[in-house]
Amino acid sequence: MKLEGEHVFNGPREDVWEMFYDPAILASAVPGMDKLDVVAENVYEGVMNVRIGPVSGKFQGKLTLTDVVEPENLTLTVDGKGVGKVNFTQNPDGTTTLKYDGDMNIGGALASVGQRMIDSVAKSMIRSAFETLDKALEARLAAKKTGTEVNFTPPTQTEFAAGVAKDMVGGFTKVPELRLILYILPVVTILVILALVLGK
Amino acid sequence: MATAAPKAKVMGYLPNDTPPFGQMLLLGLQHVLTMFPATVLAAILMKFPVSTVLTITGLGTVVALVGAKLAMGKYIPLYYGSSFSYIAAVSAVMAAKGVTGAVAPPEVISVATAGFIATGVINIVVGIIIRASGGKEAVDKVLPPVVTGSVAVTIGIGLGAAALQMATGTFSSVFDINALTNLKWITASTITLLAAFILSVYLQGKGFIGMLPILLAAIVGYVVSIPLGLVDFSTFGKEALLRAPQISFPVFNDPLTLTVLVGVGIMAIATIPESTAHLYQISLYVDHLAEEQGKEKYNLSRYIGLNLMLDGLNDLVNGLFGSTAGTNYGENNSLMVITRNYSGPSLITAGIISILLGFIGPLAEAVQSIPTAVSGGLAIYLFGVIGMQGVALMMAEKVNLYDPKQLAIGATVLVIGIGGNIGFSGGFLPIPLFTGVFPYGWPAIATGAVVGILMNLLTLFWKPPMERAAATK
Repeated sequence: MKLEGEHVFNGPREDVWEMFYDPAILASAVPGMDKLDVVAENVYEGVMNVRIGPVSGKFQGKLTLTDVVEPENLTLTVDGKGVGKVNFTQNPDGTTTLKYDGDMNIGGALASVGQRMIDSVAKSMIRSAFETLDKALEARLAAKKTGTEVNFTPPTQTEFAAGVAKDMVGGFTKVPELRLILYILPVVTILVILALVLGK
Repeated sequence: MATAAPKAKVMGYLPNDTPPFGQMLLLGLQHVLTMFPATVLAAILMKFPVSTVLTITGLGTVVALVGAKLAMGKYIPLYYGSSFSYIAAVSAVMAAKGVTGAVAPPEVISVATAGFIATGVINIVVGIIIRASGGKEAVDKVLPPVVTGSVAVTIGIGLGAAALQMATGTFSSVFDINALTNLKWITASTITLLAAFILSVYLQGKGFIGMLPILLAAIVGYVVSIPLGLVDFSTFGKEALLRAPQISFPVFNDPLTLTVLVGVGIMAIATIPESTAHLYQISLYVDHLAEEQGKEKYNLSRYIGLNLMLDGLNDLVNGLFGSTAGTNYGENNSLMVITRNYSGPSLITAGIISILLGFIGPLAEAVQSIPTAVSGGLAIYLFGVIGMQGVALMMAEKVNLYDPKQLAIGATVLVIGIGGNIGFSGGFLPIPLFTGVFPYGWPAIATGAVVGILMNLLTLFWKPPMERAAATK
């Protein structure tokens, strides 16, 4: 599955990079990420639980960062699962654009739920991750300003699940066949009522 | 006409284009003229009132086009006329109900149209299944071309006896050859058949007129029938200039209802490959024009499931208001290709014109006065064409008729369907099982289709050794 897109962070590139490089923050941003341990420099080991409806999948894997050019870009490799390039650009207005472009292989029970479902869950996960990172960045920048402790709590699994559900409902009404059903049902109902009334 | 317009830039209308009003009216009229012969003929052959069929098929077309636009933001440019695939099944209902006149009484039509509700539902369900299973492959597994092609052959050739009875004026296979006085009748039908043959062969490729051989042949036959005394002018002048078409609603409490639901409903499988083929065809041409005009492609062929759902929706509209089940018309596809006008709004205009035509009394009278001999002459040709299209489908899909599996499935479908439809009264097989569902016997064509599907399913679960060997290689 191809994953690409971009996100604008409301903060300077150095801070975004720093945050991104902090395994604790990254782990908290990815929904279902149970832990992310540092094994060696730029090598992490993580356990991730993804649940889509009744099907769940547990991923355990090594995460390696390569091509690290601080604070511009890095390449994330999840062994056997995929690879993704991340690129940071400083914008003139003080914000930072993060671009990502990657490929992922999904196998096992999760793959059986269908590509469309996985797509929409993946999109939800990414969106949710960025929302969390936005908040984390805000908290970090505020803490930096006042010199106090970082005060930040990641969202719970329930909040994430609600987000996914919302995205999927939104996605469903974009499926032409489902929209057609939403058209057929009232049209046929009206016609049947018309037929019943006229038939009397 | 769009073809006559200056060719300064790439001329033509894409599905979402709206031509100027005057052009749209003309383009719409052209569509109506194109769908008219087949739609009217199907109505006559099924003994449905022509006015109702014109009005409701027009309405069904509008409802389906609007549905496509709302669902996916673009029109699927297809016109939904009445389908020939249901003639055999509906004729059986008419025979069982003892209909003798040219138009069946409303209470009989109400029994038959219940079956169109079933086909509508089947089309919608198959459309959803195709969408959910992610493609046409799943449907091809359950409904392979050898089944759908053979069923189409059955529908066409199974009507062979009916066509000949109409053409000879016998209406029964029991007759006394010395008592026949139908030579005039046979003359009219033979001339009509000959005209249809010559016009369709020699007008081919001659522009718009080349698309109307059946309409022209009917006119030739009609004119010839006048001196032969076959046209009944006494029916003229009885209807008001403007009057509402007869509307009848389906009933589900008749002893025949279950037979109709199965017998008529299952004919949907014959229209599925046809409808899909039309979608592929029009998609190709629409994208070609889009490319020429430097616009975004429509990629309509992706929407196989949606297209079938629209077919089903159109059937529901027709079934609910006493018209015949429909199908999208290849004739109108050809018209669109020739005129390079794929505009959805002009098809909606055509639908509205057709709705209004149903309100014109004298038009219905004129159509209804077409002698049965003329319809019979056309039927020999057109029913045969349905059968030949089934053969064409199998050839196009390269069905291997040397494979005992395909051979056996096709053979069984053909004999049960054709033999049963021609050999037994009303096309009902004398099988005294499930008499609650089938009080008159089992509808032959539907039985043949179901047997074919079951035979194919058996080979899916219990793979023939040759296929297993090929799969493991």
